[in-house]
Amino acid sequence: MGRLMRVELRRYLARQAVRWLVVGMVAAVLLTGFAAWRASRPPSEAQLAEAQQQVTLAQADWAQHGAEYMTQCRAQQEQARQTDPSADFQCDRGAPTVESFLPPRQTFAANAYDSLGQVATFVLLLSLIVGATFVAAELSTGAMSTWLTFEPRRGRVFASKAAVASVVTGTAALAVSVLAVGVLWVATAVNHATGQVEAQTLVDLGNGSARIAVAAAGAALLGAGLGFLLRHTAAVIASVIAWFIAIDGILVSGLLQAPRWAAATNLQAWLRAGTTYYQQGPCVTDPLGGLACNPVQKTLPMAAGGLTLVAALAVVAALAWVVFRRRDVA
Amino acid sequence: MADLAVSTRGLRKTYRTRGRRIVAVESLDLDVPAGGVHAFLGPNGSGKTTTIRMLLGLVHADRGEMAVFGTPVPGRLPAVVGRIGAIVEAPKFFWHFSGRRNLELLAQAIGVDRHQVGVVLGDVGLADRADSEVRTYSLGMRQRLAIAATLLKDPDLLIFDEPTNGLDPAGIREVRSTMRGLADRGKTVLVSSHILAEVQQIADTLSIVARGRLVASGPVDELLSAGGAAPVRVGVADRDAASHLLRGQGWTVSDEGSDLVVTGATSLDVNRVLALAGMYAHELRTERADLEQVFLDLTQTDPTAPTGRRAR
Repeated sequence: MGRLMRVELRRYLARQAVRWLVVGMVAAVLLTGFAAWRASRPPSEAQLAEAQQQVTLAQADWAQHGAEYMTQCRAQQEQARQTDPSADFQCDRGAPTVESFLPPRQTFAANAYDSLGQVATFVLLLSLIVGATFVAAELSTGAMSTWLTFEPRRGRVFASKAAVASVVTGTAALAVSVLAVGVLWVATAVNHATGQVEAQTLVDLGNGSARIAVAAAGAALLGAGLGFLLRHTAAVIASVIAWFIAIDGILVSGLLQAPRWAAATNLQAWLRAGTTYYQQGPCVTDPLGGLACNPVQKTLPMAAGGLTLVAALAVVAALAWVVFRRRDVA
Repeated sequence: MADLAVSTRGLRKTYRTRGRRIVAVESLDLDVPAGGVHAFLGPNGSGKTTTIRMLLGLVHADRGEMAVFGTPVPGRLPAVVGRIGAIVEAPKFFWHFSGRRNLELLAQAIGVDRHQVGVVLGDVGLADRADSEVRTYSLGMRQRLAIAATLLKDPDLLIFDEPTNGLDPAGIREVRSTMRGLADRGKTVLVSSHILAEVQQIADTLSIVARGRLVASGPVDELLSAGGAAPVRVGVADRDAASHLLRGQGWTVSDEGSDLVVTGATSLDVNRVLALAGMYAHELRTERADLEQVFLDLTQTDPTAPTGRRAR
């Protein structure tokens, strides 16, 4: 088995498709870094001048109508608190300042975690494709039949391919995530916008990177499993897109009103260490006779999301194994 | 079964296509003796490739038993796979890898020393192009690479499925001599083909299948002579007198150009009768029966014509 794994590893690393997808991951990181660099730049002279002009007008208006605005604001806030006690309209902000008229400036401390989440989307998609092409290319070209004449034990062939696809992709995803954190740091540091980076920020980023790596390993395993089932990379990609639109979006979240069981919700819960979603609450008849249904916010913990994904992945892998074992290989 | 390289009993395989079930192999009892070249003949779609795929565990049989060197397959195929080298239909490799890398991966999988890759590439004449990507290879080169792959294991049984498809005459001759050479080294070569002339030149034994069933099997010479005594071609100066004389012996004589063709007698008989009458032949040749004719007689079909059945 160890020999087979080494062969699969060599083959995996030598595949052009894998190399291109790694290039894609790195490109996604660099693009995110570029976006962070742009968003963390200090305002230009022109932006400052324009903001100064705007704030002068706003402050003049505030001097005339400030008290009236605050009264209106508090009244609206009071009304909002009847349904949402935590509503805070920040009515006591006082006179406008020049910062209010400048574009928001990102910092590493405040935004790196969210940026890492954006990188995760690319990493997971590419991991799925890597896993799928690693298996499906061999099946669609017929190279699998040559391989099986050398190693006819299909269980070993299946296990070695699935293991290599998931472990190597997961490791690559971890490296890409760490690279992303580094690129984000450099991109913001260049603009002196790292912010107050606390130990907890780094811990969160480390945990986030680890979760992305685990999710990428799972995505590659899913891709490999679907590759065994569908035998074409394009079919795998199409089926995953169709799942997210038809099953996740329309059926589970829409018609069944069960977003808890949508793959996207569970994935979000895993990647973001828990997530919230809205589910339709009890409906009441309003004074005009209409039916008012207020959505209820619910929380899905990280562990619950992760376990749901593992269970789904286990089903796909088991199905793929059974089909590969029984199916004739062309 | 100990002296058999391959044996099958009651082998059956059906495919489902568009709601219909098509029989590819039916009750096939095949025996391939160990050693020599065994031709597995049949028209297109007669079930040759399906049978080979079943032997290699690539396709699951519906029922029946198979054994390779006495070992039941596919159940115990891992125990005997090291003794089998096979090329099924067109050689399939990773196109963006070089020939050498393809073989190195296969060698690593079966624990063969990397050095052996260079040896087998040299054996098939691919040493010069070993480091080129397979996608740049001609079909003949890919075929040779496939043969090299089978040689990695130094197998006792080599299975070649339509090995000369798409090859030019030089390539065909090369593959043919490779197969014969392997058999001469004590290997068993099982070659499937629908090109009769090709296997007639190299096969020691053969099996003929039609519509998934075995219709004939045995040594090539026996099958060729099974249709009766071979005709004797005679060249003689006084054709009319010779014809009259030979017919008088109760043999059938026909005129073919400047020669007479005698059936029902051996060349020895013909020669003796002519000599006793003072007639001397300037040509006397026993004509071998043509395998193609035997094939057509047995399968009742033109081997190159589509049969209307699909069986891979």
